[in-house]
Amino acid sequence: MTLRGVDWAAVAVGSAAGAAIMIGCVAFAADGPPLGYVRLALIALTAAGAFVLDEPAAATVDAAPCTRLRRTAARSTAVMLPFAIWVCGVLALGQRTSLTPVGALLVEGAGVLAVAVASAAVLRRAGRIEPGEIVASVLGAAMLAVLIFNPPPRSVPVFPVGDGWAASTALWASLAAAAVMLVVAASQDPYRR
Amino acid sequence: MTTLADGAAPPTRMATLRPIAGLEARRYARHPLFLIGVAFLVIGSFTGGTAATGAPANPEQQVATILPAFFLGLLGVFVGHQLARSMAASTEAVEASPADGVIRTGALCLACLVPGAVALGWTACMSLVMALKAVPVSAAISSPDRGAMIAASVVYAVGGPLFGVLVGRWTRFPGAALVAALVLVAWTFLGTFGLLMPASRLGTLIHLNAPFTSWVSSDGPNAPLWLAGGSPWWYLSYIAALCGLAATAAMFHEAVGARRSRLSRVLAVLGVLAVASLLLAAAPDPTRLTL
Amino acid sequence: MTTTTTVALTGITKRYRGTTALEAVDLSFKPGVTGLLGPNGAGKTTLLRIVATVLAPDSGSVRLLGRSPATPEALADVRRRLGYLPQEMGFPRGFTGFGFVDYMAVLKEWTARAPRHDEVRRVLDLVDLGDVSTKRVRALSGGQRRRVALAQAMLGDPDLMLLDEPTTGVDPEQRVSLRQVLSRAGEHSTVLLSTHQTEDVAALCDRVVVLDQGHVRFDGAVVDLVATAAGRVWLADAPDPGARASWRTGTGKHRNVGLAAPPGAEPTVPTLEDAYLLLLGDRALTTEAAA
Repeated sequence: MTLRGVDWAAVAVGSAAGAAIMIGCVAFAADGPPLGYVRLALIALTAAGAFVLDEPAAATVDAAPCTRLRRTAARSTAVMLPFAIWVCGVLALGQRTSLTPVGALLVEGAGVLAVAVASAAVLRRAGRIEPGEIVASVLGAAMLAVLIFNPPPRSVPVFPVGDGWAASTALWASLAAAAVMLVVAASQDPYRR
Repeated sequence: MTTLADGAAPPTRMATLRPIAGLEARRYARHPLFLIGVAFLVIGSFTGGTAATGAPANPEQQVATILPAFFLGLLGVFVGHQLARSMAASTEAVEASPADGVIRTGALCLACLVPGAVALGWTACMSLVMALKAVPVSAAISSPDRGAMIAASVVYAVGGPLFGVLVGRWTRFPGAALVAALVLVAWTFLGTFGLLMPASRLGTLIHLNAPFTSWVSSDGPNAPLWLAGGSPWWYLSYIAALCGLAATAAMFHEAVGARRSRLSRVLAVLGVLAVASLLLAAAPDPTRLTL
Repeated sequence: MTTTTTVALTGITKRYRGTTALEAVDLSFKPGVTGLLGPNGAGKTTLLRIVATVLAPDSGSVRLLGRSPATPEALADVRRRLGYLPQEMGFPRGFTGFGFVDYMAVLKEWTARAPRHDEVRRVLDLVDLGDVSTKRVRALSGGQRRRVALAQAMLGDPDLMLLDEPTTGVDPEQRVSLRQVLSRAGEHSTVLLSTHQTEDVAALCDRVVVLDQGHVRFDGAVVDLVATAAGRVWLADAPDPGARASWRTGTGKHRNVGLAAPPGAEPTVPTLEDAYLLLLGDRALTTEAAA
């Protein structure tokens, strides 16, 4: 199976932006991890993940014997690049400051990226052959809104700062699992009724 | 069919600009992301919210700028970008029309006044509500300064979309709108370092160079609130100059010949104005006043 | 040439949000080249998409290459043996012509690199793009891009080739060349050619299906369709008000296509285009009479 059809330019730009922000976070981490900036990096990496399912030649590709599910599975591996950057960044941050909740952040990153890919898969199922721009914009705007407005603590912490890491981890782990199932469901062949 | 060959004078540029600007304004007003932003702006007004910078002494005042800044300004980056890129598919047909790229971009920039108008209306309503509820305000903030701080929300609402138009005109890579939004947010976050520094003109300069700023902060979760130094009016001038720079730079992309030279001069003037406004904004006594 | 039915469609219906694209269509195709004609919105593209297995019908049965593509295995097997050129084709960013066709070959399970590259070169040579195959698709002309798209549809000499507007934007010389390629393919494969170019159908196809508003209006030999226009096409010095269509030709005479040539008119040999116009015109005339 091939990853050639992935929009590597989009994935690379998002990954590079995320990597640059993470490097800054690691370099300037003081007493604790600068979680606001770490989440900015995650937004950039999420944008990279949002483009992995874009398929401009969908009209022809859908008639190929390689099923959409196989193609989606292959393309989804491209999200390993932004996820690898996230993992390296979080681990480096963990080395820099012991206050970094490494495990929780790793699950958070995996969950966010999984949601991005699942959103793209759903839009693709709905007929939008290049869902990346929309997913990146909507998810990015939603994440920025949560970061900036910092919802009241009574709600489940999506991006916790001080506490709430256990609840957040449970949330993102559940979302990641649900996202994987959604990707599979949304990647069924459009011909099959 | 009437043609120019019939002897009628061709329409002036302004006459062409007006209907195109109207068209773009209607497109802006119908954009789903703008409508969602307006909805959340209204919802947020009722539910309130805490600014990321800390517990507000004057919540309405904090909310008064951050809500339109995000829901109209930051979301407007995506709207402005999308509208600017939306003609890309029919570029050849559009570019063969008499209305050149500068006019079309100018019309798009004028359309960015739509969120500004919404922000203005919303700000007026909020001010009325605050007056009716007799919300106590700190005497450390003079009325004119408070007015400038609140008026900035209108500029935020216009500036975000203009930045989106600028990015849409000058770049083509996927996800550019989100990167633009991230740049604005990161720039704003970096500006908060000025608030972390001891009170100084340098700290004020760092604080006020951001495209969005909060004037109230504290030294810790339970510490008393203080008003940051600087001039809200010159800051307002600074961010308005940034808006002008964004619009002019967007139009510059399409300009050729004499018009390009003219726009270069406008860019230079606006650049000087922005720098001067920023320096003047940071010039007043940096001493922080406890609220 | 085998006469096994390659495509059997029975009672095919497809609706899009209240619009009926295809209504209880029964068609079957054998090896050879069949032209699909019809006005915009007739259902040609929908029909091809159903046969290409990228769109499922709402009702009816489809048998392709002797199998019902209802199971994943059968579907994959059918797709290995078909080539599809859609009406609108996008190309991933940054691909060269060779790279894109190679990408499609990989998706068609040509796993071995050397034979795959040989096949890619073969099909690109067939469409006379061997010299520019290393250029980015973005840098190719519209006609060249169309030929890249056609090349991928010819990978592996498919038993079933579905071509939607294959000659759009292609110059006359290239079009003749493509006719040669497609006529050779029609000797052993089933080729369905949807086009607005009646001269392509006349030159290439033994059979023509005319669709209109989701129904089959004609299904038969091209010569039989042309024969329906005998005596109904004539030349005159002026347009005939009673004609279905009339236009001034390069010789100065007016070519009239209508119900019947008036007495004394100068009859001329009808073309497939004349017969097609008359066929669809009769539908309009029938509708008016019924009203």
